[in-house]
Amino acid sequence: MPDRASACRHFMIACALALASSFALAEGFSLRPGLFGTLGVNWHANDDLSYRRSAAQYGGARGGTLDASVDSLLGVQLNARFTDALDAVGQVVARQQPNGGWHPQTTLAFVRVEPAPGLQLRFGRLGLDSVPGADSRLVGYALPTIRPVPEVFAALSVDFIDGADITYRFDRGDNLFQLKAYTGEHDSRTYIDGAPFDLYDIRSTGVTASWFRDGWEARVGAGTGKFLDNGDSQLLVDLLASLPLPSSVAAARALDSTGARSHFHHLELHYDEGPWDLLAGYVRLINPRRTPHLPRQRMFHAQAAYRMGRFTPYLTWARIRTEAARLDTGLAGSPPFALLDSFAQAWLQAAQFNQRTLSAGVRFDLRPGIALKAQVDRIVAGRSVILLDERNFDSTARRTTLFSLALDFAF
Amino acid sequence: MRRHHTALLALAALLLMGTSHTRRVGDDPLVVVVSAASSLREMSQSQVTNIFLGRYKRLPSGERAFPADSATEKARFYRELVGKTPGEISAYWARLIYSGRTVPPEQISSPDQVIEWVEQTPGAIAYVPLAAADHRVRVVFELGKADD
Repeated sequence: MPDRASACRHFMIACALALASSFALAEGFSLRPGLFGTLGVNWHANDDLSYRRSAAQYGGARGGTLDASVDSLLGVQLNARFTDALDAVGQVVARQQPNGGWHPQTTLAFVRVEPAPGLQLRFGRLGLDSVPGADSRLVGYALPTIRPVPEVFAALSVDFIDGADITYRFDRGDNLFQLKAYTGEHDSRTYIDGAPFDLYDIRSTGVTASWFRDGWEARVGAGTGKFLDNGDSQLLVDLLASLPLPSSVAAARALDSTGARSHFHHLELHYDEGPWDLLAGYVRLINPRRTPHLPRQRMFHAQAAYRMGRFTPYLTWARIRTEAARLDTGLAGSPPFALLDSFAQAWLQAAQFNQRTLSAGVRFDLRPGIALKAQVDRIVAGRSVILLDERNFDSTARRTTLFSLALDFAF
Repeated sequence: MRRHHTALLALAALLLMGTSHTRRVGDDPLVVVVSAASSLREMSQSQVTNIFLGRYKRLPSGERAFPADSATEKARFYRELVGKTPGEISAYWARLIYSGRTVPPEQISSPDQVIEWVEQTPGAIAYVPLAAADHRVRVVFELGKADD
């Protein structure tokens, strides 16, 4: 299944690019190159902890040392405009991957068609535009802060989908409304407990409705992720299912993600006019089948920034709560199989993310296109996917203060 | 108690300073223009904001909108329209461009070229100082007028 899904995605991208290139000689054709990136360093004092900004990152910033791998990245983009109603975008980003490498990754490759003003269709590899900021999280220069709040974005290691979306905008007087629907597939690579993992192939489908008026924007949305396979956990599921114990077979069924659906809905309010930039949001993740390794989660986040000349001080606060999960494999007391039980429990615990972060910082705009930022994060975690212990396992019950500097640019 | 009053007054003054977008005395006001051949007569500040911030690509007349920035007036235009600095506008567009959502307005170097471009491009919308707006274009919105 993963091979077929992957082949479908590559075929879609190839079709999108072929369609685009067939128009390349059309009158009015233009190319617009772009470059963006972040050079960031982090430091914290906890010798027995590593900090990373997402579950898809390898290792992280070790305590007591300056680390430049967490926030640094480089992206290049090419916009090709064929007609007023047809263009294509390609984007490649080099950043730290779950295996520790820095190989460039295609993050956008789509064709956009605008059959009428206000109506837009995109096909190919698209930014996952679920919660606000999800599709621009890599563009540090576009953010007031150094990075998006980890409580919302650290566990969501999906940046893009291979699929399509449709956006329709219309106005009523001074009010502008947007309706958007998207569907697409993506895999999910992460780094759990000292090893890179392919999690699952997921088909995401969602809708959002937005309202704009002057500096105000409100957005509500809902979506579903259907799990198409078990990724690297298939071996664990197979081993549990092969044992002649009702409890282990039941555990295998509970851990089998294939066909499971995870629903999410979200609500955000954003005010961005004059010197103020205020944002508050709520995201909720539910799993009707109650699969224990896909637990319910609630995320709250808020941000306040106020520009004073070229300086913009800001405060952010975010919190994630995850429902506790239990799984009885019946193997914990059986020495030959206790290791299997510990793997199953580790798999469950990898989804547990309970943390809050209070951040304060300042952005200094050197010139349009370049900004320097300094930020302090106070992180309090019950269990965290971004704080790793000495074995590179998710840490429990820890607190740390992270100091960060970043130079962001976009041209 | 007096300290609280002083703090509240200071906060109110800060908010007023931050949210006022009034233009400087003596400036030739900036006006938003479309082609004189367009059927569009006037626009509200919200409609102008939606077009120039890339939120909407349709003019109230129903035509596809092609906004353009004038290099010489850009900083003043966005300061008066939405109270944003060039750096903030640059960051705003970085978010839209590098998430692949849309493309920024055409960039044109001088008011004279802006007028020429607006006249020749169906659906074009741009801004110039009032004194530069001639018979080839129609003024559909004047910045700062709502504050007067």
